Amino acid sequence: MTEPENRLRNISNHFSNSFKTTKDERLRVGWLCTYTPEEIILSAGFTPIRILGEDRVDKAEGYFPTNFCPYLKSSWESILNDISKLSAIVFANSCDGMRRLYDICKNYKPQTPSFMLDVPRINTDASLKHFSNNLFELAGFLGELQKSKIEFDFLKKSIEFVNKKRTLLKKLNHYYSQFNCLVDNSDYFDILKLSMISEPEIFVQDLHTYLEKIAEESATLEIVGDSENDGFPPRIMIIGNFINESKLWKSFKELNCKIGATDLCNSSRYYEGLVEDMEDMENASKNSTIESLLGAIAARYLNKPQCMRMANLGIKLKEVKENIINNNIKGVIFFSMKFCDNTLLFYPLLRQHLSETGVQSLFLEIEHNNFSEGQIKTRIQAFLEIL
Amino acid sequence: MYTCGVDVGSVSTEAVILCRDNKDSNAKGRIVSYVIIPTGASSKDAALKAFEEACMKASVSKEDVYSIVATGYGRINIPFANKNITEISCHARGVLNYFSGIKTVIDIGGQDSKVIKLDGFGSPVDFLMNDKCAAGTGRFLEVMARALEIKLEHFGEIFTKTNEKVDISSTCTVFAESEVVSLIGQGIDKNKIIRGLVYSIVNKVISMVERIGLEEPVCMTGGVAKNLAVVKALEEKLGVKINIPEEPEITGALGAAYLAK
Repeated sequence: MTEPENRLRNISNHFSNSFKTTKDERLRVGWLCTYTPEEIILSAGFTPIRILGEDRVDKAEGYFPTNFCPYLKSSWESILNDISKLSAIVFANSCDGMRRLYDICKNYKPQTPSFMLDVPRINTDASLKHFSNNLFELAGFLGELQKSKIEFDFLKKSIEFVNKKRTLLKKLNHYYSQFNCLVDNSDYFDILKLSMISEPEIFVQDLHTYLEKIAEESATLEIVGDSENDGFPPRIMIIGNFINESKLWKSFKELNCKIGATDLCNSSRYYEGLVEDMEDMENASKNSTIESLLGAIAARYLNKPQCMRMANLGIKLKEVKENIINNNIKGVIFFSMKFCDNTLLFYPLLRQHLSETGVQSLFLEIEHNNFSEGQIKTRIQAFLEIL
Repeated sequence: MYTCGVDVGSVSTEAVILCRDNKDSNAKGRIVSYVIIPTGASSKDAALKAFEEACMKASVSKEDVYSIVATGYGRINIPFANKNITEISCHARGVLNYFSGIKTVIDIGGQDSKVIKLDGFGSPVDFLMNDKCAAGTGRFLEVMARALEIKLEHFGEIFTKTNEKVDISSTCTVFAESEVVSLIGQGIDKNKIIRGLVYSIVNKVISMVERIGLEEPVCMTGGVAKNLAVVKALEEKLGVKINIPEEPEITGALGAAYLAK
């Protein structure tokens, strides 16, 4: 059940066009990690589709050890079942698990071309250059599949388009986090999910219209600001890896929990940060090259809110701290997908940092699309009671 | 003026009727009645039955109870409750009725075990829960008692009979049961096996206590607090005195009754 029309019913009125993915005649390229530049996939004439994984894992169990990332395992189930009819898949060396998934895909699904993106773990001039070169290779790989080269104008337009999508998603986040009852948890995460799996142009149109309606409604409401008014519990921040659990967001809603900020692979780390210097490029377009655009893309991805797989965790701590201050966060719930070494390594550091600053935190470990609702809900409710 | 707390656990459901002079949750109340019944297949039915029996026992009509709080794993599905509050907050408040200044609560129930850190005034500040598997819970002891064909309440007495124990290497209840059966087959003294089992559950709980940080005074709640073997082993391993409420099983329901406003 990967197709959006089966998964996202409650926002279907506003996003009815986005659900009709069958109209999209472009071939699809799957991606898994938010360090994958959608603009390059788009400029090559493909529709980028994020692989979200299956609700139920059967076949994929036989390919991996039991203590393997459940998200990647369920993604392999999705690839094996060929639900999204992908023409190619772009992997990233986000973690060891992802590298193993790439190996498995190469071995057992050779008919689906795949590319491994070599995302640096540090952000220096040399790593930026390395990543730019790697993006050039990705552009070549995708161009070869279409039997044509990626053109400058297409790439530039794609950059502008994806930037626009990010800006709109950031606006959605503003309405979600700053107002009570305007955009609920489930809708927010469902829209984010839709942004990664539907035809981008149609989705952006739908989101634009939706935000106009939301803006009208928001005019009559007060921004939550720095008070825990209207009987809402204190604002909390959600940090974690790929947490894509409808049941979880529903639980937050039932517990009347106000999420004031998120730092997830499927939220802010996906849409925060734009490919910059587009205006400079406009002025110097005669001298600009594909390489300079790829350099700007590489810079955006290395400077966006970073994943916990990056080497300098001090930067991550700083990002979290800023989010806590800017959004008046009183407690942090840290979610880790089972067996994710990167997040497990970061949490003790974060907890120590938070306790020094007087912010309470709760650690929850869950499996992808398979967690015990009651047990998790008890912990979240107890945490809210403590706050 | 009466309030009621209903704690719907996996094994048993408890209801406490509390006579309140005022609605302040910190004010001392008087327990008018309490009942403990098996939960069975329907938590909703068990909760209603426990509430009605508690009312009957206290000679109080249901209408006289102005507020009811449900707690425990079945708390969400209790239609007659005014509010639901987690067992973490309820146990934290419940112990205050028996002891003042408690800083750590160890609650071992039938389905899960918890360690709750308190501020000393009945409010939780941190907690850890183990509910992924039956190891470290009352269910573990029940299964082992059945395998050994010994009544659970005799564990305390047997525990003191020997200082020797066999190490139970499996933490999983299912595998531990197989291990126990195999040890019986080898002719190992049952007393040593029981001592080994008790330490097995205690070690599981101690790892949680260490993670959260032990602070005295310590109190133990939940049905397993009635098991003297576990209490003694915990005291020995932690090196502290463990306070046990008069009726540890009703601590959650009692806390819920206090938190009912």
